[in-house]
Amino acid sequence: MSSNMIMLKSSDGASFEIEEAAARKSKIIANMIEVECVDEDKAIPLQNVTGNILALVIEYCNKHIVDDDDDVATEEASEEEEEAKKKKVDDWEAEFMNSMSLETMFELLLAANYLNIKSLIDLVCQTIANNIKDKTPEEVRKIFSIENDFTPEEEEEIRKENAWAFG
Amino acid sequence: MGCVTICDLPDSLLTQILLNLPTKDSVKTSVLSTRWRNLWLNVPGLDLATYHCPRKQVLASFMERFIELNHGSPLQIFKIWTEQYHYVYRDRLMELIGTVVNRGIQVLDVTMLHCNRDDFMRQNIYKSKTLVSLKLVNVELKNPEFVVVSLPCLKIIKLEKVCYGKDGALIVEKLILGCPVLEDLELIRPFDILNEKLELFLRVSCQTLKRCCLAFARGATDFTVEIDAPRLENLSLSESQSDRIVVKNLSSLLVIGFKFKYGSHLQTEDLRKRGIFCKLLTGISTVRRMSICEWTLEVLNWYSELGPIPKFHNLYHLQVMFYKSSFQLLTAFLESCPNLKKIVLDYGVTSKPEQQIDLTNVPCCLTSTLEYVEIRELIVIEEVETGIIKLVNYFLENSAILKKLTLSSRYSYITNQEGRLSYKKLTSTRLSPTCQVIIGNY
Repeated sequence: MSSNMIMLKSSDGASFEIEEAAARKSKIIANMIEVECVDEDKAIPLQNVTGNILALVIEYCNKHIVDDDDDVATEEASEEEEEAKKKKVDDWEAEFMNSMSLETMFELLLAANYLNIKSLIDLVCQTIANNIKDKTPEEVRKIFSIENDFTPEEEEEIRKENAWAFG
Repeated sequence: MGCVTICDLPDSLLTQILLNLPTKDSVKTSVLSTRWRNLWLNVPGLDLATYHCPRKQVLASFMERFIELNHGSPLQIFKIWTEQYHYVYRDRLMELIGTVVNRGIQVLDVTMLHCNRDDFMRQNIYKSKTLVSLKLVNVELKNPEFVVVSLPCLKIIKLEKVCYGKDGALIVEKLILGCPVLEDLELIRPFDILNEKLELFLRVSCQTLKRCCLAFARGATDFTVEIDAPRLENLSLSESQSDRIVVKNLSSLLVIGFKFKYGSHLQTEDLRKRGIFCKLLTGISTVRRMSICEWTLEVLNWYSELGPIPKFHNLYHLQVMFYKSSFQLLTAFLESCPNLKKIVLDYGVTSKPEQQIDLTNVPCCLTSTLEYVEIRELIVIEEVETGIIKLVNYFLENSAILKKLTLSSRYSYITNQEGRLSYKKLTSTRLSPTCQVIIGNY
């Protein structure tokens, strides 16, 4: 079964071919397809996404092509196969996020937000949050290169407000 | 394009990142820089635990302040894990939960460490138009006497020790009936009526339910449950008794876990109870996966002497938990599983295969369908070695199309010390010549 292919064009002019089913993970693109803004031979221009980030988005969408709406197709598969499949996707996601720098993560998050891909937003947010969890503010500043623009007195004041959290 | 940093993300994404954190970590970001000063206040959720904040009144004040400052924006998630202290704190907490329910809550998760009858949910919990997931542990649910239960979005319910009155079953029943899209129901010893010996009857009647997990009481107030759930795919029963599950409709069931109590067949001599168990067996006979324990095997064995056990034609995966091991009961039950592909035998640390086992009975699934055998958690010590070898050899000698047999343990005993269980001692007459044998830890 061959499915429709769609062309996407990044802000720096790179073109990507993607299956319609995968592209529909993006609510924005799905919307464009619904209202028939998509010309068959023309690429959809995505002004806010660079080529290297779009490649990652497409990789993600292709991996998740079957999950949500394909209940009927998977019903026949045994639960064991399904479990294995789910584990495979989980492992893939972990590896996918592991392989990128924080900077790439931020860009990917912005792209996912712009394209409105809910599951990818959740995945990246969770991964970034894991870098904050159980860390001291000093460690968090260092990890994310955040410049402390408080005076020591101001900072002390804020810490006092919710002293329990800093204990 | 220059280097992208976390500061390039809009506030909406930063608060979404913070929503994935316990509130303690979220609050700590307030000192990072001026940009982060008040971001945590816009996070649409709270996730707190008393071990994060030993002074309860401080925690209560914090929550009240957060909810006040955050006013206007809906609160999606409220999770709290708490020990009980002074009644003033508990009262404030219950009042606060009442407030967040009115603020469009989607996920509510309240876990109290101990049961205390003064902590009860406000009645508005029964009328939330937004609630998707409700989890309560040791928080009392009172009878919705003056409200009609209507929870149009609720998909997940998990209740543990929530009803302490005689009308407990009625309350849970009303709750379930008020949820038109419920998919997941977990009841862990939901009823607890102290000092009274009462038999409760709970009717779980739900058209949308897909997963259901029931853990019955050990000693305390027990209950009988009637299940009418035509879309139920996964049912798990633990610590149950064979005459406590009344099956009405389970036509979609794929997975069953049923672990009976020790000796639960001893009280089921009469015909009515036997009929209930017979209906249960017929009701679950379409399952593809089954997980049982040794006591379940005993009940099945006892029952098989009184009437036929249905054939589980779809069953391809069977997992059995052994406590003292009675392998013979298993081979008898395997006769009812003609298409079994995989069997997992779980031995607790204290159980071991018998030395003297009669392994003359070879069920038909061994000769025709069984492909995978997994034996887990064995501790190999000298006195049981013969038993284990016997067990392994039984499968190797009798399974015609076996692809893989795995012996594994989390404990290191199985392979260390001169490899006590060596491949050498295993039979050389394998019925399936291509079968792989793996001995190892995991």
